[in-house]
Amino acid sequence: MSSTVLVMILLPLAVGVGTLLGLLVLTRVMPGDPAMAKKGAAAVAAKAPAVPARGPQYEALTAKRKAGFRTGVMVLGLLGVLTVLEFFAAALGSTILMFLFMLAKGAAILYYFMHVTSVWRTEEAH
Amino acid sequence: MAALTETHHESYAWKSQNNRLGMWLFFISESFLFGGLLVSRFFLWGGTRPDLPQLVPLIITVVLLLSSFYMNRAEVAIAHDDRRTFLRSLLITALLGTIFFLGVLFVEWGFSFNEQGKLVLGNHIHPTDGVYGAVLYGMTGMHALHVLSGVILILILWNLGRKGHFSAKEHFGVEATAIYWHYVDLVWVVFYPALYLIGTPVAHGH
Repeated sequence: MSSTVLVMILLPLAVGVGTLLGLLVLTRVMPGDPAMAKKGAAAVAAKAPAVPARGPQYEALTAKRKAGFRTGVMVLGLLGVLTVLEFFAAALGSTILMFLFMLAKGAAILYYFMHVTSVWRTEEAH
Repeated sequence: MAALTETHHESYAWKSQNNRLGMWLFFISESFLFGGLLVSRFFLWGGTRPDLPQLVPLIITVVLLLSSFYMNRAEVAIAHDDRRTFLRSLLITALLGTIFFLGVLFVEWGFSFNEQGKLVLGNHIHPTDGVYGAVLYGMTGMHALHVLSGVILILILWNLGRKGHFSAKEHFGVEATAIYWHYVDLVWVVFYPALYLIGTPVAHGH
């Protein structure tokens, strides 16, 4: 095995896997909120107001969840279409078009999936 | 008043907002790493790129985009107390992430062992094939490492979720992992055209 392969691939992989194993151990040793560690889900469930299994509150929650799923499907469709367009732009040899499609995909991921606006939004607006 | 402020500062929402800011600072620092790699691609390759098969990168791109969709689905599900969809979507995301990682390792890189048990790399291009090999393996390798870490984080999340952790009100761990996963996707959205689409394809001497 050449030293180049060792340095370029195996070493970063070993460091990465080692770090992640350390992270895994940390999640075991330091599970975060002590109340959560002691009581688990019961601690959270006790704090959260119960949503009834039927009625207008439940229906509103279901509708909101479905709307969230629908947005995800629409963004996935948009990303798919833009990827295909990007591929054709490459066949045409248009770097500018490829760049524009790449920007549009990035913006969609940042806005819809990464919720970038939540960084500067106030707590009340959530 | 003082007691009120203290309570507010100890609230989950307040802590989450600070943690969220920390996450984004982490992404900014990561951007320097990936940005440096991207600059090295344009500096070393210029208006060219290695002539590589296009099908595998396109397939793994679609797989990663699909995984982002499922990660988003998991986040939406837990935000509305739908634990079943949350856990199922997490598993699908981890599976798609693993397919991406293995696709890069075994198909794109051609990672295998020969008859002598020696590690063999390079279906189409070797890491030692000049600037083309170095940049391609460096960029895809660094990205694949982030995918691997994302998959491990998702599996940790799944395990915690299975035990009953997280709720509609308190799920910053899910949010942070989801944003991390989408960030990895975002990096690939930039890397994919830079490595496989932009530039005139040239023979890379392998």
